Amino acid sequence: MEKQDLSIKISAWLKIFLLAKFGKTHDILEVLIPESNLSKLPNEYIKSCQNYSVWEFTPDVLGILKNKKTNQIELILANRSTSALSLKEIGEIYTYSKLVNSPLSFLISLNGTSNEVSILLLEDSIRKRLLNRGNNEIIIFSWNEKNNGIDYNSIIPLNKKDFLLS
Amino acid sequence: MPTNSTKISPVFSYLLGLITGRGHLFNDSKIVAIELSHANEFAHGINHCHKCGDLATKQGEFVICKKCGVKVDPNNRTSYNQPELTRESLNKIIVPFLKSEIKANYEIAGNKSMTLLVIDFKKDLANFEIIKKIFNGLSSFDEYHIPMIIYSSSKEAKIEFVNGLLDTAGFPSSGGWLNRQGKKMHGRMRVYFQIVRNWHLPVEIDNFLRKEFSLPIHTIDWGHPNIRDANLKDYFEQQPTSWSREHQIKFFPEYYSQFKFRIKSKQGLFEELLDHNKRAIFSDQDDWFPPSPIRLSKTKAYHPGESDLRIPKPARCHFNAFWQINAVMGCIYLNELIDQAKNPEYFFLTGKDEDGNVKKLEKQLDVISYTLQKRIFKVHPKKAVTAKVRSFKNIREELEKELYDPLVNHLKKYLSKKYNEPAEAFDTSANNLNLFLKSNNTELFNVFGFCEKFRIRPDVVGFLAKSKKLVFEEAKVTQLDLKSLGQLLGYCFVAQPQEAILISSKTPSLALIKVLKARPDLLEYGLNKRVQIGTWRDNNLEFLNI
Repeated sequence: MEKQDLSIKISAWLKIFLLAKFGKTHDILEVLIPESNLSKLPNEYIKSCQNYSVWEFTPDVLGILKNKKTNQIELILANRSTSALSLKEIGEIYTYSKLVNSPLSFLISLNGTSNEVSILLLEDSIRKRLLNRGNNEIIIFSWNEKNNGIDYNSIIPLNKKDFLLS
Repeated sequence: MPTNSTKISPVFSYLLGLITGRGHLFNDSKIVAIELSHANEFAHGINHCHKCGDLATKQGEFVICKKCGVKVDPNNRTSYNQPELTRESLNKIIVPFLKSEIKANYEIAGNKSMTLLVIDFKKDLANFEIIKKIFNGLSSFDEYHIPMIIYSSSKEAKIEFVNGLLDTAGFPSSGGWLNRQGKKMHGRMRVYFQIVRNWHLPVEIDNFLRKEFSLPIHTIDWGHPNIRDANLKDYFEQQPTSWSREHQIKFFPEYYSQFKFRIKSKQGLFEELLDHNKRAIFSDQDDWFPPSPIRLSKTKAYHPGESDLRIPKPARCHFNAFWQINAVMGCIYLNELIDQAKNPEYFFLTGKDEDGNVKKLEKQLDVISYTLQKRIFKVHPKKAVTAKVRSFKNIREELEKELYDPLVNHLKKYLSKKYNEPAEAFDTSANNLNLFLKSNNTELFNVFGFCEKFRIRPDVVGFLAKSKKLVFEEAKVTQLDLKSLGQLLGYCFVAQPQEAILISSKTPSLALIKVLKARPDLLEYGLNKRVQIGTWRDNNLEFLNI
């Protein structure tokens, strides 16, 4: 599958997922595939965020939510890869996610995590440092081309399986 | 679970087999993870001729019968979807079997090339401690021995231990047949144990199967340069260390029918291979033991990899036959035979129970090996240069590599001065940190044993041996950006180095400076630990003040 096709599929999935999981607490404003750095994106919601001018990066898919209680804009990031994920990609999404204070970010690949990273992420302390920032989380999974959806066995952290699939 | 030091149940023994084959123990998380690898999505069975039933093999574009020469439909064979069948076998067979006795939490994870069985012992700490003790607190399968408790267990438990080994390290393969003519058919099918980076396990498995079950082993295909790359072909063709990948213990399935794979794809293939060999009928056991004599014509060329530090000391030298490695790695049967020989040294060199002039023979073998090596090097030098140039993925990587040496020298001085203690620094970009230490500096590995679990690849690593601290450097030749910062942070979150420096030969982009000035917390990777940004200019490192 081409990278762009994967982005389109993830974008479609994210829309449905956000509605199901955040629909009660948030307005789902937009899910898009940005074509430029977020700092340069002509998007009124982004421009309403603090410090957006230093957001010099382009996530592969972006979900924009508005918290019904606080009226704050919250961003959901999703980066994708067609090859196996390494620490490089995890570190990258961590940095972006921290910069925009994203409550939830996804790292999605057609080949899951590399064998080495799969083993590293079983260590509680390492996994927490890489995938958790307080209440903000990063979830990794494989995109199953045959089923056109999440590969249940690939979800990391393991305890997020129910959250993603229920 | 074992009730005392000598009793062990078949279920527990099976688990120990899985762990010995491909297990990891995570002490902090109280987790045992078992790797079940399936490099390819599909494993294929044997092609048999539709006309005469003999073995058909690929020859050029076609699949041709070995006996009658007719073209055979390449799809006339069974295909096994390995990831699917592995998961199914875990869910329906293996986990229920383990659960019948071991009340831990079981999860299945993984990717296309590997399925992981994750056994969480947080609610069963006593059993985790037992397992940890059995494996002497070691964390990964590349260090494990056959647990002592197995040797004193029941026959049934020993069989289950082998079953566990088979499910993880055993690989039946329709392509691994031996070129032998049976009474009724061609080709003798083989199964192998694939042992990764563990140099003591091959001989231990061989000797265990011989002692406990009187079973023959066809050969041990050692991951040693003289065995895997005897003619230095890979050495000159871009893969100078391809020999180091794994060891294979090869055996014929017809002697192993008392064992079973619980992974369905493997069991299906095993039954096919077994059936083929039974129908083909082979009268010879083809056991490697006792070893065949080594003819002078089989003397191997010297290989530069013979002194590679990844090879343990006893085997870090030249060999002309695989069984010589069996001997130095402690094969009880072979060493007994050598000890009883008329001239043990002569036997070791030749495999012949004769008396002879060892010094003279050693000299003769040395001349042959040296001449062979010289001949190969004479033919290949141009190829070697081309391979080296081709192996650089792109110019950027090549330029980055040029930075490593000066950075290593600088880091060594910088650390000695700053921490007032001896410091070492190395270019670690070619290998994972754990492998780098094991392969290049065993003394340092003894101090930095905690790096065993760090399968990460920073460009340059500094080692402060006295205070047991690490320092990472990541080098770029392009302007630094958030992406490169993320990469280094990934390594830092894993290993928590004392310092981490992101370096470029170009000044950082204004965009990055702007982001980091606004959000310096992006550089944090631990308590009071921050990535530093530096520019490499005129052989000196200039730090950026954030």
